[in-house]
Amino acid sequence: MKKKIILNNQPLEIEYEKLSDLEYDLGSKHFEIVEKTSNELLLKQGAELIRVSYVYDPKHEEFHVCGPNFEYSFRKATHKRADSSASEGSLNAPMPGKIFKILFKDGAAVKKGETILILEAMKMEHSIKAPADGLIKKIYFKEGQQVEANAKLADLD
Amino acid sequence: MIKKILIANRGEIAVRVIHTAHKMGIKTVTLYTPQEKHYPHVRFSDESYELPEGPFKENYLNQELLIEIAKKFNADAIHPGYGFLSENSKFVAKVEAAGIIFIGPRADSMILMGDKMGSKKALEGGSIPLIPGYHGDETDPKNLLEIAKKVGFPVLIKASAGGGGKGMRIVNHESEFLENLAGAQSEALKSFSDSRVLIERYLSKPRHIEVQVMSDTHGNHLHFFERECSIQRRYQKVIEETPSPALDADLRERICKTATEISSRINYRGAGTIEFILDENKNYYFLEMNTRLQVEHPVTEMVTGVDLVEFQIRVAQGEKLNIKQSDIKQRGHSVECRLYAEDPANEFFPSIGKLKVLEYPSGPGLRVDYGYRQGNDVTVSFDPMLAKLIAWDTTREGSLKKMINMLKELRLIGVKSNRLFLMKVLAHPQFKKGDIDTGFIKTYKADLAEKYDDQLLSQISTIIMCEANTANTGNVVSGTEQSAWTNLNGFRN
Repeated sequence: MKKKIILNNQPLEIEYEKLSDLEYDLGSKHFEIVEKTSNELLLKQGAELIRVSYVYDPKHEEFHVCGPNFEYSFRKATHKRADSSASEGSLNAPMPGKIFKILFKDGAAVKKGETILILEAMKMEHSIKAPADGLIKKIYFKEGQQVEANAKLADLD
Repeated sequence: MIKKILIANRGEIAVRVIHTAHKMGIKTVTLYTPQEKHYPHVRFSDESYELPEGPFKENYLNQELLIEIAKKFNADAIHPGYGFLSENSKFVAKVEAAGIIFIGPRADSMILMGDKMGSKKALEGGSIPLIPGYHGDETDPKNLLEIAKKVGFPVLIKASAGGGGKGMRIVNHESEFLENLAGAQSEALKSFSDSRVLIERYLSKPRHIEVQVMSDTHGNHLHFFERECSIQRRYQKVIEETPSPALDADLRERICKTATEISSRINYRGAGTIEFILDENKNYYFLEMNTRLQVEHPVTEMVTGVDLVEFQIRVAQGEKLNIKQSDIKQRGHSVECRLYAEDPANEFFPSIGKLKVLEYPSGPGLRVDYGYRQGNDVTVSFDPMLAKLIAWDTTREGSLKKMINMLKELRLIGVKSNRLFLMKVLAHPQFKKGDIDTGFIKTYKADLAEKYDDQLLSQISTIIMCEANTANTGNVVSGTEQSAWTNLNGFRN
């Protein structure tokens, strides 16, 4: 059997075999489910026990996972994200704040990691960076304007 | 004797004060804004009062309103916690004029120590070591440049009023001075309505060492040894420990003696912290005094076995400190980590959201001082510190290991946090050696970055996907053992 997932924005394909109700073969590794509650799995891999907590966010069809030394999110690869505001190609405000500075104009080319604008929130300046190389299609705000959390700040191409 | 305390604060420090007050048989009143109704600090006090929603000046910083509430509830004392009004001398004067006890220092000590220039001037010319620098009223850029040249580059520019790194700049070369000065002055003006800055020689590889002091009104000025607070980001501490791995017995004695020299010289009252910078050559310099209880006070309590809030309350009601300096001993080692809702991968920017899962660890020698619990929202309105995790053991190695395990056990879903980042710092070989300075997080940025074992995570993800019942979506989030409890307390989806 195969599952396709998007893990930390990276598509992956995993081959697995369910040996019994509580046993999985995943690649070279054998996992056993020691305990299962609605938001927690206690897994055994070799001699090691791994306690994994997770929450499913139905709105974004996303799993949020917290383990002893990892924290990450993933989703099924087949699903499109329900929330259009989080779609690729747009930049959103991580929290309410004020547009402190805009460093590029509409139509400008940006490189991955370049700061497009600076948001002032919680008395701190927060750089909103380009997630990839591309063109700025449109910036929706002006300096000094107040923005709500998740507001679309800019469209990228 | 104090019978009822109004806690003019919120979050974990309000909970901390409640614990000691109740132990002493003193009643407590806490405050909250409508959005904080379900936060822990509202639930543990005897009474609580709902403040209006809005900017802080209308609630937690509304001096007249707070005094009015104290009178309404017949509170005979106010504990200010840290932050908010804890170092506001005008508030102290108003509280005392209203016939209410302020659990903290006198207004004059706050005025003196709140002004970084004034405090250094007052301590000049004696046995207190000061960093070479300028602490005057000059604001003209050209004159300040001349002064900076005399002090010697690299220099540090800092806002004269206030703390927390606001308006702070390090300038390595003369050519960069004016630009940085302008930035520092405007930030200082914005944050404190006072554009004055001080200029100091910047010390390389500095460590931040501070000494806990406590004074009564009978002439007793004690210290409770040092705390090492060199692990900082955005000029704010994230990991603190005591004893400091940098001090030997002789240096410890000298630095602690300097601290009580300062507290006795200004005839201080209550709890305070004297901050020092320790340079590479083990020279220490007075930095500033914080006239309040510190966030990191628990490590001192773990190692010396005292209750600092109890001392604060006893001193405030005029009692003598019932302990001698020679009876105060450091036993074992304690470390504190501040758990923040923030994103270490993005310059530690605060993260907001609902705490869908939040499970704190517990065990022997572990203490968790928390201000949030599962189901609470982390919003932009308040500081994003969720909790302080504190570990104690007989050795430094032991308490660091305990802390790493505590962080492993802790579960948090709903906001980004510095949990894994803290674990990386604690496990870093330089940190383990105790070879740290205030630049540690920047220096070892690459080592401390999150790295994933994608293979393991994808395997775990597959199992979760097969096992999770996502069809019944409504129950997945609230299906934990705590769900009934959370729902009762206003869990909103």
